[in-house]
Amino acid sequence: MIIDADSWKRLKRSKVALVSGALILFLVTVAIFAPLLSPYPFDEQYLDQILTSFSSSHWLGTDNLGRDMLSRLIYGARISMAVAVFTAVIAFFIGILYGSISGWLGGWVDSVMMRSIDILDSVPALVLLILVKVFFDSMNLVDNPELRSLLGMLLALSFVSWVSMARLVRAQVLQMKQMAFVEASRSLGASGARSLMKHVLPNIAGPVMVLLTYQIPSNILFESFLSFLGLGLQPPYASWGVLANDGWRTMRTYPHLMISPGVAIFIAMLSFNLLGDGLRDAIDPKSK
Amino acid sequence: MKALIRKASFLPLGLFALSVVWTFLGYELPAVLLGAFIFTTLGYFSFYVIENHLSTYVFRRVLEAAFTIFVIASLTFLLLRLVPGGPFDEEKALPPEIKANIEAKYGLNDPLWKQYVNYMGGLVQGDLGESYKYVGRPITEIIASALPTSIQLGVYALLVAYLLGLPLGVIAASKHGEWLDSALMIVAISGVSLPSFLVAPLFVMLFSFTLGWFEPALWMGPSYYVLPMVVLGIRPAAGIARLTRASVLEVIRSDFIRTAKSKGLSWRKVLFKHVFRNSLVPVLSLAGPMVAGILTGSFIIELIFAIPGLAKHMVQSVTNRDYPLVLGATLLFSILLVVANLLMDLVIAMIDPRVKFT
Repeated sequence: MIIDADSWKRLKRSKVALVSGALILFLVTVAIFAPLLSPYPFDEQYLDQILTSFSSSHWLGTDNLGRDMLSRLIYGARISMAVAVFTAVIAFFIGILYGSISGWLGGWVDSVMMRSIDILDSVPALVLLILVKVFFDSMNLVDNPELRSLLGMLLALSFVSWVSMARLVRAQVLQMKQMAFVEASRSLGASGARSLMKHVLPNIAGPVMVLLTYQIPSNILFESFLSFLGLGLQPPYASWGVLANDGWRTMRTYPHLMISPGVAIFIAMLSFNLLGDGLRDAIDPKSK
Repeated sequence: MKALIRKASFLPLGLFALSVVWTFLGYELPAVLLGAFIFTTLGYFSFYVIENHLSTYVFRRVLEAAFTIFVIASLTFLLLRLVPGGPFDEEKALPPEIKANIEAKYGLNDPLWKQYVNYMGGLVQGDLGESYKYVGRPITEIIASALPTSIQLGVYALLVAYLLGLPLGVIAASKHGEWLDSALMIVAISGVSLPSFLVAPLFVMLFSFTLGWFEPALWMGPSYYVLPMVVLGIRPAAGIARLTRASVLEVIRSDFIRTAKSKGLSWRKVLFKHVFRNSLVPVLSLAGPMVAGILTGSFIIELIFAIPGLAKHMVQSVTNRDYPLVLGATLLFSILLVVANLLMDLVIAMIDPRVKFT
């Protein structure tokens, strides 16, 4: 059980959290069943219908190559959500490992590990992200160029976002380490690794979950920032960020190209932020 | 003595306000004003530091910062050299003799350690090398011409963020549980969830194309400044409003506020003397991440509004593989962040005497 029964009850009582949870579920479903839900193939060009606005055959219109925007948006959900969630998961594992080692061992190991994190944190996130993305992109990790840019995006985003997870885990582990029940398990002869896994980590799951939820919208944001700067995914794959970037330049004449991906990004980020708030209040009712 | 220190803080603050207004009106900042501001600020901080026996702490922080910058410089240097493909590999291949000549000019044929030593040697003397793409222009010169614009934009956005976020947060907290509170918090969380590249085009459409109040792009005077600084400030403002509200609510509930109230102090006095000052600390300690966020956001804003700042150079130099410029911009961004963090820590210590330095 990741959240205890009381917190769960409090979470279920919050309407905002439930609605945002439902929205997220909807977005995830759309992302998973994209091929079934999209009315047209995402890369099919309808050359007689270029840059049409909202219509009955193309609900969200078509883009400059005559592709159906709704289908592109649905497939975009797939890519944006996958990138955001996988990044959060990678950052979660690195953060847990790094943070618990640092916090549990303490002493000079802790100092060295934390100083290294401080140095990483002294570079503004987007600058770091740009550098790392350029680096991973040019490393030729896989032959397929589309997969390469996807993999580069995942690695670069994880490289930036694991730091805050590691900081949180370390702070929590430091706090838990002094708790009586942890000391009790140690004095009863449990090994350090066992106390950490069995007693400390399960008890810090709450705050970790909250941060994990908050990290998904920030990943969506950073992914679209990179796409915006021209360091994003390769066509024909298009995340919401790529679509919004294509759209804003023609905002004045073809606003529909910008509006739909914009609204999608906004709704996704809002739902995750609201769910994060709900989780935080449910786990720590005092914070409300 | 303490009172004197507090009074003296109006000098640098006043000069700061004057500089902000001066540049905002579109005039170039005179060297005298800038000099006076820097001099009084440094003087004020050093006075405070000596008075409170913090010199060893500050000295250690400065050393740490220097070490941090050194490590960042080394790592970035290494990272850029590890990237396959040189800066002069172009679509249309250069004749090999010419390419060899160019590479020799920039010392790219030297062994890696020698390039590194040369670069770091230059860095210590404040020389960042020459740009590969703007031929013959030193990096320091390029940065020096772009930096004032970026700092201007950043300072304005930070001011917008605090001037908008703090009052909204306090208002929401004082109306806790009422509809105004909920409404403000909905606005705030929407603000946090709105990427600037969506807000910017919308604002441009509305305020410059439709209403014609402000200019849609470039950086040449007051009517050019408003849209970029507001768009850049919105996200941090929303974050500050949320944090201020939470912080004020927590302080209001604490015992010393009840004591102050039961002593018969007027509510306004309690609010300004006790609540506000105590809830400011967590909000101000957010300034570090806030500066980082504004630096990050400035990339998008400078691109959308075609502002000739540092972020634009950074993006262009990355795609151009103009490595000395990438390195220079990265270092400068990091220095800005590190300095902002150090100053903020000192400011927090001035406001909250409970903060202990270790």
